[in-house]
Amino acid sequence: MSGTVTREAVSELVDVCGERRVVVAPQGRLIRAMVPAPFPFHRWADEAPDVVVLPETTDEVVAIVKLANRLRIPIVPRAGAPGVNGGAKPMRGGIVVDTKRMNKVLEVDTTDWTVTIQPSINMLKLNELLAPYGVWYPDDPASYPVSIVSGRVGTGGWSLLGSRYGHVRDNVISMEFVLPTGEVIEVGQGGGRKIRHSSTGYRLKDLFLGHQGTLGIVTECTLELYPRPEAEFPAFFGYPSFEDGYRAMQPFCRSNLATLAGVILFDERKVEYLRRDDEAYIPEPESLRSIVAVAAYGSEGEVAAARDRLMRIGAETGGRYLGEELSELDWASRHDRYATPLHGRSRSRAVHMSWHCEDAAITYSQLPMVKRRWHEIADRYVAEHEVFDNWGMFFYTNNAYKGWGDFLVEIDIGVWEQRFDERSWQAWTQLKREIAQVSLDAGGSISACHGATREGEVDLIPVELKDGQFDLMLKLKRLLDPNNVMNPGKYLLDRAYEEAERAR
Amino acid sequence: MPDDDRQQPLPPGVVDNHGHFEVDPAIMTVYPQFATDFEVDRIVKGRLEYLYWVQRHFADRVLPPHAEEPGEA
Repeated sequence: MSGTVTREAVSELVDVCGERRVVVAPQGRLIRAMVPAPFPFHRWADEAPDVVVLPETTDEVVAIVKLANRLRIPIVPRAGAPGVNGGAKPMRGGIVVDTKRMNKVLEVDTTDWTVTIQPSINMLKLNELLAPYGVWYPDDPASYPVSIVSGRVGTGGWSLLGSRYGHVRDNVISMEFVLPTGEVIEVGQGGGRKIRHSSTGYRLKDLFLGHQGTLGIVTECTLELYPRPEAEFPAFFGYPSFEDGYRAMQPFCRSNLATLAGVILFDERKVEYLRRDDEAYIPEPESLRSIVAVAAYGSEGEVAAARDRLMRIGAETGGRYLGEELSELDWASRHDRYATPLHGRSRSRAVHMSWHCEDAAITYSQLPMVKRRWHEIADRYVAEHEVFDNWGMFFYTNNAYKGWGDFLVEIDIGVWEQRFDERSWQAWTQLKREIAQVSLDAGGSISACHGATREGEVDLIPVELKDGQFDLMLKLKRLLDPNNVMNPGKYLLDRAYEEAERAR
Repeated sequence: MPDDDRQQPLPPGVVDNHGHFEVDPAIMTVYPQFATDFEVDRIVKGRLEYLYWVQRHFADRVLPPHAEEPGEA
């Protein structure tokens, strides 16, 4: 630890937030040490923060951050924490700033079509509040009902509907941000809080989207609004092989439909897993070994036209339409993957497992190679360790406002977390390292959505961000966080201080 | 912070699995082996109700895979 949370420090936090919003009880701290990502349960107690605070205002956040910076106490912002990468997980104890009480809507602007919020409001709840205005905020992660805007800012996350509505970076217009020294800044597109595009100055907003809690705490956000969709049309098509599904993906992705929100390809291992262990699976013929799912959103007339073209493409590519029930309900379930109780197999025995997914960004041409090598890696670890199961792969459109180019590639691994010991945990991190290396071999990026901060894959960050990018990250981290208090240890950013120390 | 609060005795039926508190597996030896038709029906209806509720957050309606009337769209 770079600092210690003394009783005096806790007392100061109580002065800032009041006794009820400062948590030192073990259950309140332990629960904020974990995330849904595979977690080293055998080290749980070692990974807990020393104290949790729940601020309600920017001024309180400023006071907490200044205290941490003055006393050199590690400080980690945390929102809903459904991320499967662990950005919100403290690595060195200290203070966790749980921002969930900063959840007020500050302004709904129905003239310039923005909503300004305290950022720890959940998207589902935000859209319920926006519905009477006929507007909508379209960010749609798999954790839609439980994730929170400030966490989405921290990860710079991906949206299921991104090919129609963009991703987080496209829909956060500007932010108020507390830097690691306690200084408050505004970042956006140029100076205006509601300006969507500007050529003035650097594009600083992007620096604070996906920072994984290493550069400060967001305290206000101004977000883009869209007309609420009148209609949606989801359709699932079955194919006899992965190769057929892979080939069919391109005509869907290049269909020239502005309403096309997303395309998903299921590989044969995914279909096999769903048949095997998903109680909600709707039985399909054994000949079905791959699925392409598509969805369009917008005005009713446009979606009806898109529907006709998508159905035609499905038929022309040899796809078998899988029916309204599967199409509507499976698509609806994609807005909330966290509600699904999961189990997998360990040596053929059904056991409760946690879900982990890798989320590389890979170009279309490289998808078959990545699929083959990821399965080889996963199968090797499944054979060696009873705690893992291979649940197959998805491929999602990843390009904002367009369906072609690169794809979010996901391999789902079932993990029997409660059987983790140090040996299997080390195997897990090595598995992640090997998976990440394949992504880089394919000319891709380790993470399209979650961030690449976990043990294993994080070792390859300097490899992905070569040619000076990682060095620039180190310089920026040290410039903005001179005492390394903000989420220390993440993204190998400690190197910024080690190198400076050596140079002294 | 001192670790005194982590050293308190565990209540009956709780075990410490590497610092992770969980229900003692020894008292969980009876698993539900079947569900009645009523229970299955309730679970299915609840799931459908939930999914349609989620869907309504994203669009006013879902179009069917074919035009509903001649000449539509």
